[in-house]
Amino acid sequence: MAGGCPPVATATIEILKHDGSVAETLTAPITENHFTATWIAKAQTANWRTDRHRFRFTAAGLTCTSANEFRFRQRPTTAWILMDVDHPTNNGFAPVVELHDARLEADRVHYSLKLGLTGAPFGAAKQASAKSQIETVWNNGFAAKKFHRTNCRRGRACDCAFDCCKANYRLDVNFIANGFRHVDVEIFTSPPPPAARHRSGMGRNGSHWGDPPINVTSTYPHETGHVLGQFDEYPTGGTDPSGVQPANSPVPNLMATSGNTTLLNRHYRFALAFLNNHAAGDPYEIIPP
Amino acid sequence: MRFDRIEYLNAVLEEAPQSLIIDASGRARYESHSNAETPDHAEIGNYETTLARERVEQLSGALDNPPFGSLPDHWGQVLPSDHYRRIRLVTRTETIEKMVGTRQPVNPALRELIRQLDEIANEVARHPRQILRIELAQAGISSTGEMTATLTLSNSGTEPVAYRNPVRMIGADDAHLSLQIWPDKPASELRAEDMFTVDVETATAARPSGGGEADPAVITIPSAASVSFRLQARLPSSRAGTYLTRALYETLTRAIEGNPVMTGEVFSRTVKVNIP
Repeated sequence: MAGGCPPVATATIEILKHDGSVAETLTAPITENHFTATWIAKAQTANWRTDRHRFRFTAAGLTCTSANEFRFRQRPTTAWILMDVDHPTNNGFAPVVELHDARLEADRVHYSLKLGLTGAPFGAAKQASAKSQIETVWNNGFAAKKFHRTNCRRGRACDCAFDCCKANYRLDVNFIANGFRHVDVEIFTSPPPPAARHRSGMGRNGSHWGDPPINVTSTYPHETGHVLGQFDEYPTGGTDPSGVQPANSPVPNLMATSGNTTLLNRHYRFALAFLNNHAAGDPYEIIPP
Repeated sequence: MRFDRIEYLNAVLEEAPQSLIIDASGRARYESHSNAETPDHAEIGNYETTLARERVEQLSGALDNPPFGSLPDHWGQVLPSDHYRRIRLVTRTETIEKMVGTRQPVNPALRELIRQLDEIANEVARHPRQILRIELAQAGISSTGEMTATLTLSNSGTEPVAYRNPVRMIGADDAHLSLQIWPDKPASELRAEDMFTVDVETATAARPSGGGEADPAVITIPSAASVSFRLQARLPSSRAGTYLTRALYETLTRAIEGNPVMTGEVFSRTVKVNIP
């Protein structure tokens, strides 16, 4: 610290932003020529990864500015990783699977699902509509949530506006004509009314969609859930032996109730696990709980 | 093979499969939770009868030759959400369960057993106990796109049955009351996407005189009785012409405020309606 600081009762500590303006002001009593103050570090700009923070101390009219600087530790990132995990179900069904790519990016967990198409024609417009619907349900389902550092001193009510202690989620779904696909989906043209529409199902093998599906709001997003590791949440379905996803959900949601697109924290638990497996030992949880 | 009980599930509605249970005495109980595959039969419900001894013996024989336990099935291979059939055979010494889906060939002996069980289910369905039947009538569409119709719920069974009140289903996140509409044209010219669905916006019951809760969550209908509701929905802008419409009543909640209710989806038969 530069500058002489005579012994006085109270010191003022200003936390400086990268541009030199004051972010926060603390005060601390001076005892035996030293003082201690605690600043709960908080990112001040979207450039928190490169911002430098110095401290300015004032006592008895004299001001000292720190030579050392504070920098935020950055969250690790990863390349794309193929997720390929079977999760056995109850009731004799085939396992649900995590079968997609995942990547930890600077500010989010990013999933990529590549689908191939066989069977009846499913043209560009239908592909775009299905892609948009599935992405919207799964991405909007996380819109009011965040992955949040468990060790953040601001706790679950953290109001930090930037992503230093928070991360988002994104799912991209794309139909691939040539090249690697995670899942091939056979399209069946549903019969005209009043006949029942073709049932859809997705898994490691034998995936199939009715076009149009039984429920135009929820069928494709629900089935996609089965290749994102999600179980059914009604008693007669492919339910979760561990019980993390209840076999009879009291809350209507995408995996429990036809026509419902609500998603809950438990539906993003594998994305959270991916983050925690790659966050260099700095654990995260989903907020709000 | 002498059995204590045979349970047969047919997942026409995956959340509430059709269920046939036959015990050794021939007593057979059938629960239907969907008429999606038999839309002209606009009801779901509980049915019960006692099968003839010959029928039970025929079924026992089919379980012996070849032995039911030896039949290959699709256990562990049926995708969640697929239309499955499940047979659970309970004897004094063991329980054997088989499951088949729609994506792989079914063993011929198992297929024959399923055929017999479907036949028995149809036979039991001629003996109604508690029935939810729905009929749509007096359907009309105004020049402003408002559709109105009368929905009648009736019970042709021998016992009273509790239903979820359609009035209280409006806007619920675990139930649907809707109208499906498609052009009235030859099947060869019709496509599945020609059908559109509108949620019922209001349902108004004919109120009984003498008090009581105005719109209870659960209605109990005695045997051979019915109750009607006036429905209202708003259509999206559509080409003028003649259409067919039917109502869909769907609830998967098995109890409302602690009271067991009929569960499932039931489609009314179609009626013609004109969009001006």
